Amino acid sequence: MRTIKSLVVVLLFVWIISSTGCLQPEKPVEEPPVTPVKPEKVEVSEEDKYGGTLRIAIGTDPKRLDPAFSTDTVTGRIVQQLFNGLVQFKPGSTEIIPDLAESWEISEDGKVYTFKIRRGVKFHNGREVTAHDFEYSFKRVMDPETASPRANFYEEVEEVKAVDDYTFQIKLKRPFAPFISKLAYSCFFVVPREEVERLGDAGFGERPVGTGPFILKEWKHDDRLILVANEDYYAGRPYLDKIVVRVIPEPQTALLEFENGNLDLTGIPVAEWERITQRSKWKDYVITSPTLNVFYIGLHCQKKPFKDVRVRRALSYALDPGVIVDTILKGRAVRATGVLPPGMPCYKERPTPYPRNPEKAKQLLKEAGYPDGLEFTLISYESPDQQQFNEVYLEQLKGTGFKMRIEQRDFGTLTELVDKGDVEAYTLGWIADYPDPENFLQVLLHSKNWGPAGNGVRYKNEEVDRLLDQAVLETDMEKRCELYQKAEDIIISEAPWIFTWHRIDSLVHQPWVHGIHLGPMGFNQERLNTIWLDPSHREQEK
Amino acid sequence: MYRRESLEIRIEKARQRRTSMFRLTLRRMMRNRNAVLGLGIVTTVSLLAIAAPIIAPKEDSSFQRFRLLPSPTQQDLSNTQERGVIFSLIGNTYSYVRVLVSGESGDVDISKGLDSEHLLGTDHLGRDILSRIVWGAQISLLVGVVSQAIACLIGVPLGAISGYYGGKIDHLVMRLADIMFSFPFLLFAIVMVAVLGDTCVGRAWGGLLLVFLVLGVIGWAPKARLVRASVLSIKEEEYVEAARAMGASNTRIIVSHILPNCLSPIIVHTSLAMASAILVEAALSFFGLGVSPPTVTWGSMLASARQYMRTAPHMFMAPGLAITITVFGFNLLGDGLRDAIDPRLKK
Amino acid sequence: MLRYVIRRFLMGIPVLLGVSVVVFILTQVAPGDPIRLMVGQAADPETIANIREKWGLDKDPLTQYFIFVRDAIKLDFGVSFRNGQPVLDLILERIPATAYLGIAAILISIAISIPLGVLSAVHQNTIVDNTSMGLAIVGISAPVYFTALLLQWFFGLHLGWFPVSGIGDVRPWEATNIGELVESLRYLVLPAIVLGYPNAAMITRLTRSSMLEVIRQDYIMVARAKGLRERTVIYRHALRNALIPVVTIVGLQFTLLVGGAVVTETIFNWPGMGRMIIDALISNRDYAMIRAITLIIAATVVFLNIVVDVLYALIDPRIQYS
Repeated sequence: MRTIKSLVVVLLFVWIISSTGCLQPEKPVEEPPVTPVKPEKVEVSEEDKYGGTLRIAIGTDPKRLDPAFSTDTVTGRIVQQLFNGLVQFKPGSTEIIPDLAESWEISEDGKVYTFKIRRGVKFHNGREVTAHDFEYSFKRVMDPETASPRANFYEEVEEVKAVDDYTFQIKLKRPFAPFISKLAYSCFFVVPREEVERLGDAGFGERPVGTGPFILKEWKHDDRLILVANEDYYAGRPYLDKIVVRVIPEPQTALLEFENGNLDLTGIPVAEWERITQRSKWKDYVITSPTLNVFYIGLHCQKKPFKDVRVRRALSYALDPGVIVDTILKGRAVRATGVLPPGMPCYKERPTPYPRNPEKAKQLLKEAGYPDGLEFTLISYESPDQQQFNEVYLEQLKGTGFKMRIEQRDFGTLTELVDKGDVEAYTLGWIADYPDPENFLQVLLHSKNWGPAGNGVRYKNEEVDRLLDQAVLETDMEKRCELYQKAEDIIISEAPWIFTWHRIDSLVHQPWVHGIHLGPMGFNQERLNTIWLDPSHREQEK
Repeated sequence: MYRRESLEIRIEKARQRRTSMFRLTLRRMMRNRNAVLGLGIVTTVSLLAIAAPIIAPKEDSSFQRFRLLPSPTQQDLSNTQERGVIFSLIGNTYSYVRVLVSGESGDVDISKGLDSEHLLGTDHLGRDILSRIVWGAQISLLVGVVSQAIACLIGVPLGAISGYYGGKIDHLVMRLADIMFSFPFLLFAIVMVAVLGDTCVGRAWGGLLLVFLVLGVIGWAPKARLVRASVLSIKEEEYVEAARAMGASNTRIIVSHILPNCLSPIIVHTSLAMASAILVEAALSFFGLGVSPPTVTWGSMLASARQYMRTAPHMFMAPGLAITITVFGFNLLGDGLRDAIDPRLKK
Repeated sequence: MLRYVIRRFLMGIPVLLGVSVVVFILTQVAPGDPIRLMVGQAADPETIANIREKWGLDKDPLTQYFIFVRDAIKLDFGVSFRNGQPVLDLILERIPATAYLGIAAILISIAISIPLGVLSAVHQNTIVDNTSMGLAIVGISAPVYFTALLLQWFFGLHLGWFPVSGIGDVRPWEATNIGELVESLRYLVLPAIVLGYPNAAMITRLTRSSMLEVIRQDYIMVARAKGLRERTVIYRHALRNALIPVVTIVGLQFTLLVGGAVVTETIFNWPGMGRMIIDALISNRDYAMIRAITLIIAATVVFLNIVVDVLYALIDPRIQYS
């Protein structure tokens, strides 16, 4: 009796709390209709833009802040602020502009790139950057002793040489048109030899020294990093004094902090998309941009059952990722109609290649010799989002003759299975390393890249191979696009993938933050030196 | 005058003592209100779990993969109208109180709050939460039962052998038990499931088999210790000596004479351990380990409800309360049993 | 006594070895290639093989085990896959945060639960008793993260009294003035309460039942008959005896805390060892880290058990150790 009474007391307490509205979903009626001040052109003088601290969050602790070892996006984002390379992307776009190389020339045969290095650029330790530093940095990544996971990015490079203090030359094994875009990637950034040798490879990753607009002042693992402005940055001191990067693994918690005013910008989790973009007071401060990526369901083309192109086409007619895009992803993705995403050079708009048609799917299956239907296994990435997608797919497959078994794996195991070819169907995505169709079509669908090199579905088509090989050597962009588009047409018709969607990157920011750029290469590529804060807000913060 | 009773009679008397003790225990337990409440809760939940295919208002073939009993066909569902009355009553009270206190019912995105069709609302994919709770009861309870069965299967024989034979075997088993004790239960479970999650075993039955095995294998040590303690104290009793003198084999002695007396602490411990098994399963699901869809457990419901806490809180409260109440029931039952079996042993 | 302690220490060594074997086998058996995870998609086999060799993962398991044990004795737990830093350094960096949280949790739970337990026993069946028992039952029955999220929601977001994540800009031992210290402690409150809640619940119930039992004892009646004040009776006589079983339980709190810390640290984004082990297990397959942490935790548990036994012997003179 006593226990029952006590339990009732407690439960009532919980009940009442949960019903009194603090757990209620927010209703438009509850909040007074907030008319957020539309970001008018605030007249702020250049000097006033300087100062302030930006507070952002990342999802995991960065691994090693060393360009030679930077493979994941979180580490990459921080590395971008601390280092520079020969070239960079114009903020918010895929256009290549000079970084530490003020100009360059490409030889007639397309194999020799000669760069003129800017003078007066200083490392964070005060020493000036020369071409010899670039030679050292490149050789370091190429050296097997370093065991850099990005060594293969240098596969086209035959030799690098510092011709003199300010001239740097790269010789390629064969012409490679996208090379200049590739050079914007972090593994080509410059590092000072004396610091690497003094601290050792592992130590340098903890106390990085670069040339970038920000300097790493403090790093409390799993908690936060503090970056301060580099007063001597070659392009001028960044507006911000300081960036505080907090490590917040849960996107909901980050959003909570953002809404409490403790973060200046953050991403928007799936569950909160509607609320933030439609009903919150930040709805006019959401920035989105399609980014260069593609998500797909890969079908193993050399193994039954998907060896038969009819079966692949049947599955394409049976599934409709568009439903997921419209109902679950809603504005955070666009339906994929091919391999290349919008925003990629040579992208061609096409109608949906395989509009949902369960009847046709059944018919194709029958033709392929499966009149009673076909069971297959989908190995999918383990995430709450993906689980939702899988459930939708399961629903869609009813009545089409396909029966799908789902196995969930973490990313490491998934890639291992794909590498070994131990799969029938799998879900995967690909994010561009550099904005060129070669990075998608060649890496993912050329027959010489079967397995770990990228072509997980082991797709092979000699015509496609031929077109791709030709396009790499071609220097005229228009002709390249023709070739790539033709190859893509063939690929789509052979359906080695179920083309699902391209994700759209998005973020939401506080009204006092300006100067944010978001482009097809994603937010992780952006240098934050363009960001400035309202002077009035900075006063409040004090 | 001292009469030497025959050995057989003495053994028989011991057996009778046991039975009357059992009845006495039962009576004591029935008087303990808490234990009765606990028993009531546990029974209700178990019945719910077993009857899930019949009671669940909505049958959704896409979300459960592992079933104890075959689920009804579409026609059978139309018979659930009357049975649904109970749920309507409960559900209506809930919604009534809620509306009373807050003035509105939740309704956001795909997931809906309460309405006449969905007594506890729907989740983010539109599935009826009440049905999922009921189906989840099946799996969550199963986790408790099977894992404890495994733990007993391993722990009881080991403890018995260790206590009875003593010596080197005893030392070995106790050292092994020490190893198990040197590590926090939850962490051990997390490590094992995380590491083994992708093996064949890890994938069987949507991850359930691994959960069963891991929880069972980790849980044997306390049982072994309990059994050993009992065995040690009973070993020297008269009727055991008697049986040995009669020529019974060691195994027979252990199985028929000693073990039955060890049952009581084991039962108590099992009840409490089942409670913690359910909690551990919830924690595993929180980290994304444990079962994978379409298998549904309360733990996985709670985990996926987490990101919707602000926009659809009913998704979150239902499995949370389900777990709390069930674990509460097991705890009460265990405590009550313990008090009933030996009132002097109040801890 | 000293002999006993030494013997317990010695007995602990095979236990630790056993743990090391178990954890080593687990990490060997596990599928999934950490190298592949490190490298990301589309890496060629040579790079992968090269890296594998550098990390010493190409040797056979037995050799790897011996290297592991040999180094562990020297307190060298290898290097983390994640960033090449020595594992021991990384762990040491994180221990203060977890220790800080854990100690706070234990202190809070003891400070609340023992008085509450005593009060409940003394005022049996009153509203105090019922409420505290009710809360205690919820504490041991509700899943940790259910209560955690509710508390986080209510106190953190709705009322806004406490921050909902992180450890704050400044740790308390780094604070330079009172203001910073207070601010830093605000971050501690919610996680410590959440972590300590189940333990507090257990201790409260235990204290209460222990007190109830002791109060009924004869010598208490005698003390009362002697005319001593009620308060003296309770605190001088009853409490001391009631606390004996409680002390044992408190000693065992560590094991429960570590398990609970994993969940609490994840929810409240607390940069401690619990978070680290989850990262190592789930996101990174950082074997060196996993092995090191398991060994350290096991060693600490063994050590603490010895300490508790010694304390127990000191408190209760009836217990003898040969």
